[in-house]
Amino acid sequence: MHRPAYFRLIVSLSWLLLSLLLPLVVWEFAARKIANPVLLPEPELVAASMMELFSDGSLMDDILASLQRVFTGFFIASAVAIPSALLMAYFLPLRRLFLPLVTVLRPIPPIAWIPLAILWFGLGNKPSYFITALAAFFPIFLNAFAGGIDVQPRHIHAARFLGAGRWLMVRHIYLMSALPSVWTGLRIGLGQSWMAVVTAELIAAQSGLGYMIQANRINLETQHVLTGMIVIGVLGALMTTGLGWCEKLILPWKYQRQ
Amino acid sequence: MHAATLTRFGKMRMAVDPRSEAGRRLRDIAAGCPSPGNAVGTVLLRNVSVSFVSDHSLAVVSDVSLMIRPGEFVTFLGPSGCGKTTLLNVIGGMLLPTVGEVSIDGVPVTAPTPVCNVVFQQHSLFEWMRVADNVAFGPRALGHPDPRGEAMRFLRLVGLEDYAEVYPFTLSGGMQQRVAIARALATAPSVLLMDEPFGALDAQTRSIMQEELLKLRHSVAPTVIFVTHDVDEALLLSDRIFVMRAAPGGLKEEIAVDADLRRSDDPMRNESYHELRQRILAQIREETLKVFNRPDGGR
Repeated sequence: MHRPAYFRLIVSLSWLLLSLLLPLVVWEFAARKIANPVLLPEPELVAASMMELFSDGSLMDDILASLQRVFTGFFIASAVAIPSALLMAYFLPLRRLFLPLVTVLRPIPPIAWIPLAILWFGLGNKPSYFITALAAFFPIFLNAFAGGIDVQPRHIHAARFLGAGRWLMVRHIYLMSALPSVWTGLRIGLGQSWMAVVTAELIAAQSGLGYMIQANRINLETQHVLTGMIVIGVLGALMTTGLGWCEKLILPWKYQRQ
Repeated sequence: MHAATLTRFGKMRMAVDPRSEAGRRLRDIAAGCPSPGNAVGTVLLRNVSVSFVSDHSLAVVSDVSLMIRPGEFVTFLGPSGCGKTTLLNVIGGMLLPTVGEVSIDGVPVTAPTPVCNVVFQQHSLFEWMRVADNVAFGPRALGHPDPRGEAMRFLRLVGLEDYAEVYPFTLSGGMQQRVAIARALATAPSVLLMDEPFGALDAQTRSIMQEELLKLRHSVAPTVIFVTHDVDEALLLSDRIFVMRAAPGGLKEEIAVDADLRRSDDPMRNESYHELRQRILAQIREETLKVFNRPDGGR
């Protein structure tokens, strides 16, 4: 059974539509039952809020503020976590020196760092960079480390027999062996970072989606709160999906091509 | 089996039709590979012992001395746990002996170098590189002016030139091993080490690979050291077989395989071949039981 491509596209879009429609119906039904827009506004009300916030530009500003914080924190985390994880994977003394520290720091959730972040960096962007970087750091670090120690002895032996010098060895054997795990870490790290930015902004910022949710909670503008939540969810899902597509470019050997 | 047996014994060019696929590959070999006349590939082991515990009490390999001549095909044959892979690792420099020394062409072996190359049982290809890049890796590392071209030459040799641009995981186990062999040969090693290279393949593929190896081996790698636990494989391929003793590992018996034995159409019907095979099987069985019956399972 081979259907044409457009047919399969229509089918999968229909499923997507259905899966989005279903919770919407439940929501509508529940909102009418509760009949209190502060507790649960109807979908129409949230849609109107979304239009309003988009048209006055404030939602876009908040989105950009949050995205900028996430990507800054994420890049800082990547730049620190990947090299340090790989160095610790390849050099035993470094591993012995620093791995216990990482093990102890890891269970501390990013939210527990917020008081220190405010004390150290005040309010605004800096504490948010710190929190998003922290949230992304551990998944990136731990996966990169696992990738680093996963290099196969037979690959190392094979490369030596083939005459590889130090540079070829690092670039083509060690780094390439670690790449799939590093990539997994980056994917998880970006998701964690996105969740952490909202946490950070709830407390330590004057802009962004987290701040917007917090401010509207105080004013009992629940429809704006829901707008913020939906935008966070959709953007997070888009990031995850986008990275999934990039994977075929970054790890082409994991995908069939003949 | 028959064609392979014919090509095995020096009459290669006459035995193979020059218009055939095999004939084309042999011309490729003749065009660019070191001639078997250069006498490189002498492997010398002197009193080699390997022990993984410090007091030397539990030797994996105990006091092995042997010499392998250039161009020889030598097999270490024995049950699992007899130290045959350990011995191979020592010859390749992947493992340093606890006692004794190894040299190739008079140079002591202390680390893996391109003097040797190795084909492992499976999964040793760099899976992140396309097939051609895997084979070109050696020539590139050694500064060859045209690594890609060199890779293609060796891929043609193993009949996989059409698969140059795919990633290894798209290939079957047998094809992956052919790529691994091409990659190993592309650095023109003096000694080719093969650690149960066909052990993970199904019986049919395995027998075809054995024939392929026989076709390849004369002109390409001067000396081959092969590890297997399969008696028929050892008899088919080797000039000399070292039957291994178990726990501690060592050489139990050295058997020179008479080429004439396998030249007949069906060596299995040859009575002396059959006798030899039975004798080796009995020896291996004896060694296996020795490991099997020890209360600690041979540890």
